[in-house]
Amino acid sequence: MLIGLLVLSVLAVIAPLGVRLLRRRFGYLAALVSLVLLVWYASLLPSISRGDERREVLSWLPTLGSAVALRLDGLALLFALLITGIGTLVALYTVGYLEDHPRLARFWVSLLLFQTAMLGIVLADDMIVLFVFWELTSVASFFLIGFAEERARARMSAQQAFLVTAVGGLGLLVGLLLLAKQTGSFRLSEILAQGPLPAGEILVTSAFILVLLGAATKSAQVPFHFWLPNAMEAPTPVSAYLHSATMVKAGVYLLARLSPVFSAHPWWEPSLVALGGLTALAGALLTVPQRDLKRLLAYSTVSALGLLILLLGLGERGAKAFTLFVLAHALYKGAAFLVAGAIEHATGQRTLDTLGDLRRVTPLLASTVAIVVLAAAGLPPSAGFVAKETILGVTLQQRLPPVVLLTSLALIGQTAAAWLVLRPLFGRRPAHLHAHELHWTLLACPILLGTTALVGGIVAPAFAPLVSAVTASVLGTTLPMYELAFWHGVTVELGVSMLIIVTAAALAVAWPRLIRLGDRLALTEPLADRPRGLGRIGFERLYHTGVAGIVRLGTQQTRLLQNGYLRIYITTIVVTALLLVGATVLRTPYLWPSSLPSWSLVDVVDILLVLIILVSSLAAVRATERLAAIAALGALGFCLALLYARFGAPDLAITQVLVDTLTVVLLVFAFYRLPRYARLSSTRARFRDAVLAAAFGAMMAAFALATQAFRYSERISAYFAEQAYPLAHGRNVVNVILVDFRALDTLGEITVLALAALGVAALLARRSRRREGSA
Amino acid sequence: MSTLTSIILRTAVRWISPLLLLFSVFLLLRGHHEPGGGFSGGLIAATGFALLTFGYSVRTAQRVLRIEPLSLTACGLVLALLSGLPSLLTGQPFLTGLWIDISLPGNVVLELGTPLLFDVGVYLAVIGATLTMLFEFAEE
Amino acid sequence: MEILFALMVGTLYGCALYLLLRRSIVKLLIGLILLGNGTNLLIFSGSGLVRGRPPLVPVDATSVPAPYADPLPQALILTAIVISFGVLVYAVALIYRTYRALATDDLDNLTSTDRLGEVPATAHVAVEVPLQPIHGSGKGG
Repeated sequence: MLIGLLVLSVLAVIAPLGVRLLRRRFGYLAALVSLVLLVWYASLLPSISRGDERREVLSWLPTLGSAVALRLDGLALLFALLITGIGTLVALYTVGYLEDHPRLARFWVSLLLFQTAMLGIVLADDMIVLFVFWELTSVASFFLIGFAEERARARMSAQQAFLVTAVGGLGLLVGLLLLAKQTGSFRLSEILAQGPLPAGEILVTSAFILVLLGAATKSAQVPFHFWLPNAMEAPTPVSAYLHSATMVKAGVYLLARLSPVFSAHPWWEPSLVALGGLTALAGALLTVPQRDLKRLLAYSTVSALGLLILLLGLGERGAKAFTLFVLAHALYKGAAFLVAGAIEHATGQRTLDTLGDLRRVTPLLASTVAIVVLAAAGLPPSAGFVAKETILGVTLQQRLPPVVLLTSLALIGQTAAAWLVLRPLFGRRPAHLHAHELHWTLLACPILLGTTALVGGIVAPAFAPLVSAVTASVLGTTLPMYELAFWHGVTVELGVSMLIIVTAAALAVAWPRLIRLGDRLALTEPLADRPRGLGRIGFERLYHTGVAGIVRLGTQQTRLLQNGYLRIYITTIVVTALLLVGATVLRTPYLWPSSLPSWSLVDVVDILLVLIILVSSLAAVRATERLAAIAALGALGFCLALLYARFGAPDLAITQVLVDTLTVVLLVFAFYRLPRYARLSSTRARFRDAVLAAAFGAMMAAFALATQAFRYSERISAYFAEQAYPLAHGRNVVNVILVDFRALDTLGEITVLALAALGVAALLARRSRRREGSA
Repeated sequence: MSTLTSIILRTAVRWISPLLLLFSVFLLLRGHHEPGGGFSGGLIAATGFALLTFGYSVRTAQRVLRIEPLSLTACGLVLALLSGLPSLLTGQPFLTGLWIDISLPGNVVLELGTPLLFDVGVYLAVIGATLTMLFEFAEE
Repeated sequence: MEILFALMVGTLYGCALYLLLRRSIVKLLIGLILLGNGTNLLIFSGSGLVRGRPPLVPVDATSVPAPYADPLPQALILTAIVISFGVLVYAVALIYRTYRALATDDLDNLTSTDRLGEVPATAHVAVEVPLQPIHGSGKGG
């Protein structure tokens, strides 16, 4: 498992080189790698279906108890098969779809990075690893949606998808941390082994809500659903792969994975059924009145994702239907996207009213479309048919009329979306519509995926062990053995299923009337700058208002705080320090001289030095000429050095004298290049600053007194003084600290010095080079 | 600098600069036991070159130094870094001081250690950095 | 003596702050130097003053006989002195370049460099303002 992730990520890294060498044919290589992984995962099917698990652990940050722990069980295997299987076809499809696009390298880096991360999510056994991969898929999705970077709408949609999923990601992180705090472990397998968590704990409830938030944003649940249709700005292979088959199912996967932990929580069932049901309904209602084939399919995906979450909320029976539907949906929806992409590639059109009569224009493509639509509409013997029957069976058994109604409506919407893809085949041929030859992969991939979906129902019984294994993972119990049959006989489910297919077909026929409604409600287009219709009240509007508000707040507070006046910045800092430090210093008992431990004697030389220092610092302030200020500074530095020397610091004295000398030399060099002293401030400003400076000086003096009186632990210094000679063979303790005990700090300090020198050289070098050039 | 380049200054600088350089090495080497060390030694050496710059010209100081001051800085940093590596070989943390005693005739024991190497690195880095700044400004 | 040290620290900080608040960019530099010195003195006096007993191990002993001046703050200040020199020189270079490019030493004219989406008007015009004869140094052109 680790090696698979490693191979994919290495492929992502070498993609730029590979694309340069192989051009579009790099896609064949990527497809081959995915295929090998698919075969490997498929070879594990028998053992995992029996209930075995595979685990791998790569120790990483062992001191923090973190490790790249991977685990492959039924649920993980189901998703791994989808990721590698559809990944193979999408890679092949890209060869024909993007051809030799100038940004092909970037596409492959992002796509392979995504594939690695997505596999990482489903294999992760460590929650931190899971989270890191989770966020990585958001990042990869950002780059893929914004692939057509020259289009403003693509950039905006990429940002929207990223912001929405990133907010959810933050929630998820906190939720996972809370979960770890409650259970004492970051390992999913250990957490799952603890069984259902106590529902009464506020920690558990908060963790549940936050995890649900993360899942809802990633899986485009209401009210976060709007990013998914906008994400259709991405190239079609991306829409098929990320935004239908895999990434959007990450949220669903997470809820399924954590279902044994939370399913005993009283909020689990109602919240999942409500959230999923609402999303399923909203997606179904929005999917029919659409023009754009991809937006249409996107809304139908939203509806399907909602249905999946609803099924998770239904417990044991739902789990089986969940598994079948994940599998079937990934197959037929992936195929539907691929075929929509092929239509667009062949004709340059992808809206329903600019397409027509494709069956005569391009018969081969038309038959491909037909295969895919039959699979997607859930006609027997497709996988969708079996899944739909199982879903209906579960909801009918549940005997909750609202759930039955919601499910049926959602299925009608999704089926209608499938039928609508058939419309371009019939009707009048629009003027100027013509189709060019398609690369073989653009047809082969949807045919392969569509045929698999179409005959999936017949082979369904063979997958019964896998379904059982997935169900076991979702339920957290031992294996319940399931029977899967293609044909259940003439049942209520069959009747409802057929009714759904017919109603959906009727809707698809009535589409021209529905689209007028959609236009009037402004559902057919992405949100405009001046929203109208439902756009004015939708959640997407809220998103835009929120983002604009954040930007406005940021601008305003930056204008306020970062006003460009250095002295205002400094004043802010100093006043804050005056209030906080000043208040603290005044309250220390050490401040008052009576508590000072001892008073060293003062002699005449000291007083003289102190006087010179005081006078020269005031002189540096009062100086009206640059040279006078420099002279004052020189005197000040030398007296400081003498003071250091008198109080047991000869090293400091030497350094101070030398630096003082060099500073004076340098300032003399530099100051003649700098402007003359000028009096710029008004007298009032000078007075105000003087008062502030005096207050600050007084506070610092008090602070100095307080620190002198405060005795900190002297163990460190004492250790240095005792061990300098025995340990470090040095008699000068200060030097021993610098070059031995704290040598790493000194290394950092000389690095800073070197950087300052480098900075000076960089700042002044341009001129000197030019002068040499002119000489 | 034409006003400062008097004969007296030049003569003084010619004698004082080499002495300062010699003194800087002395200060560096005795630093482990007496006041001194890489920082003060490096600054003294830099002062010597500053005098040369004053008395003669930047060109002269650069010629006497022979190598680019920025390269000297880099050498110092690398030397300081390298002095931390031997301890890694013995399994101790980076920059742990290692010492060897060399017995010389006449009952004198010479102690050599990686901290000495480190201090030489500091010495070179300080000279290099200071002179880079000084030369850049003098050239301006 | 502690009182005198506190007095010096206070004076140095006060003077430094006053200069930092000036509009003239050159006074800012002087303020920086005073600030550095004040901080060094604060750290030095904070560990207590011990007169004339440097932390050196005598030849005939293996550890420093008490009382001795605290070696730790001294090590801190020693590097601080050298680094503040480096930072000072860097600041001088930075200010010098700013002055050449923008031809002003009034910090109040430099406020727009910090504002959102605005570029100082002078930055477009005066990329290089020759303020001094270029061939002035001893390098001889």
